[in-house]
Amino acid sequence: MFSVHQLSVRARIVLTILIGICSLPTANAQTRTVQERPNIWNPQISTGIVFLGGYSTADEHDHEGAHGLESGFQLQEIELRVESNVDPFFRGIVSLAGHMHEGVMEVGFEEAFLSTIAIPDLTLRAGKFLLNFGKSNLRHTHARHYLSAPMPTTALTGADHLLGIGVSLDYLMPLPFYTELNLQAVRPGWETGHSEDSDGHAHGGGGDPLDLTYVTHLKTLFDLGDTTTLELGGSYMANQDDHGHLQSVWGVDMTMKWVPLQRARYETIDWTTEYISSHRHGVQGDGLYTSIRRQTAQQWWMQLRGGVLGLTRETDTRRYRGETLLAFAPSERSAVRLQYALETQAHSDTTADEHHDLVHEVFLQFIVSMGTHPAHAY
Amino acid sequence: MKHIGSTFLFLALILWGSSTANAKLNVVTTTNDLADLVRQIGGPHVKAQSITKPRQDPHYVKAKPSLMVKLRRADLLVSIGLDLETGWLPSLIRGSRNPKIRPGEPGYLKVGGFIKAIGIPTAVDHSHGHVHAHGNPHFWLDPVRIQKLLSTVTKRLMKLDPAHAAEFKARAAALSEKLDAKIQEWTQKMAPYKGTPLVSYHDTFNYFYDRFGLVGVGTLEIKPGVPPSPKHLSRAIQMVKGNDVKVLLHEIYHDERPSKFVAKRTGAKIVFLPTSVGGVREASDYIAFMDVLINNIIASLEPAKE
Ligand SMILES: [Zn+2]
Repeated sequence: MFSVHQLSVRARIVLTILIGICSLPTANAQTRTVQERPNIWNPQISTGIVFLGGYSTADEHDHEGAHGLESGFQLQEIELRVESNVDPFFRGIVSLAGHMHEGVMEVGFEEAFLSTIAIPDLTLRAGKFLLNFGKSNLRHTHARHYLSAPMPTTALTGADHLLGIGVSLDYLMPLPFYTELNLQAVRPGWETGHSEDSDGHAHGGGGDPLDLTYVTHLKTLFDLGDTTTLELGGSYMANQDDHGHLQSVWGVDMTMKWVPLQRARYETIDWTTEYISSHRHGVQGDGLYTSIRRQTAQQWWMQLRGGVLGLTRETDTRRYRGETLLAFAPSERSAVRLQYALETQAHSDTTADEHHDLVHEVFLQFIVSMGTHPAHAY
Repeated sequence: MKHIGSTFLFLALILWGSSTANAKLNVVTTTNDLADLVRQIGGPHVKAQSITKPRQDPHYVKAKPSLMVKLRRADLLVSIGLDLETGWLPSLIRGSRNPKIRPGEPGYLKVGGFIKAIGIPTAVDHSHGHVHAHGNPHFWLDPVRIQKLLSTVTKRLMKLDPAHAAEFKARAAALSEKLDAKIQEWTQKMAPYKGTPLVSYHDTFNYFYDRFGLVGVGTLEIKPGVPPSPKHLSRAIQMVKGNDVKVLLHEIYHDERPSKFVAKRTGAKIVFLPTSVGGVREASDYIAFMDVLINNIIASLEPAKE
């Protein structure tokens, strides 16, 4: 153990290095610059670092399910991504990612897939990819709107990031407004990314490897004039658990986004609300969160998110989490974000009666990116 | 469980189909200036629309999914290039699922590759800001470069719609002739102001300066895309005073405060300028837009002239 003084010196060194590196487009970036490479054989390579440091009052006993952030310093994500058009028909993406979990760095191939580029209206994908469930799962750690995924989403799906190996088909429907239908079928069980399930491993689909997990997602977006868009989404994910029982999660989401035409660089507002309901391991659960993000200047964002788990449960068994975040993005390749979170958690101890724990978290995050990087969703 | 998957697949397949047969060539451009040129050359045989609105900053466009819908049936996508649209266009192209407009296909035309760019940095380092890493993309403010590009655009339209090739050629020639006369007129009008020092917010006007012999002393932005810090603004004040700059050019979509701050402390005048066709009502086509630009700049310089 080192002293606080030593820690701060180390922190300073780390931060100096991080700031010195120029950089992945970040969650709060206005736009990205992807250097265009005319040579299609030359892959686009990008790499990024997400550094996190802070303190949480959660004690060991509160470690129930995947939620909350761990005290101390950690590398939330190190990503190396290679992406290229393979030929006139396919595009390939491979990403190697490292995530720290309980002090241990876990490195693996996060995504590796090929997708078609020559078929009109349809994209067919095969390999390992992020499951298109809910509003937040397609965002990589560095592109998340807050320092962690929404608490209800993580709790109800049982994973920090849902990943799967299989095939995916998305279809841009021939309608005057944007409507995308995405169907995915992946190997049994939805893999649990880098954060473990409550029982520590992937769950579902014990036996037959052909008992796949299915995900379907419908996303529509309407322009309400030149400045505002309304996005509505719905998704459903299902498979069989070890005992052959159906387990499923569904969610609906709504996002309003306001981007003034002439001042798009300086101010934007978006507001997202998502409801998720799950039926897993024979347990019914649901949750809701709402988030508002306000960009106040070219480089500044102020954000607020509140979530509740267990809407249909008794009031005192619900879990609440609120987060407020301030982001400064010096350029599209770097960001510094400060987040304070407050979480109440119900315990159903076998002996004592139910009581609430209050957890406070203060964390500072640095995100930098280097090289090219694929675009983020709108 | 398996039948869930097959039902979805079936649903997707029956919805797939309905491609519209368009008699007109469907052209989508990134800026309104390009849409205007395509419209003038293509006449009644093309339908041209721009992704960005005329008063929008073309560097900062949100890759809205509704724009992907606009691109999904496009026969041709015309862009400026030189990294102007790199922040948003690649994701729109991919999102449109339209193989015709992919880079390398005949339906993709990046005109920036056909002009002689200025401002190409000798060393590309992201610490220098990186919006203009391949040279300054604002060449559409130079009517001579635009005139030279007419043949590039025409050739592409001819390739995609050979039936109307002769007509495209004739229309382009007519426009080129019109531009000849206007370029002469603009050059004469601007001649008395040769050597005038100017400062702008962003390096939008560099080609314009070069064409008409004006001197761009600097920008209020630290680097392309990086907003000025207080320290940089105080340096900008010195720059304005030291070079006897009387007029600050301000693009309508940029934050007005830095320009106002510098103007107030130096006595320089701010002239607010559109940077695209349609940016103000009178700028109805490319020639009218250049007229607006030149007339506004001259009007602002007029009292400074003896
Ligand atoms: Zn520019």
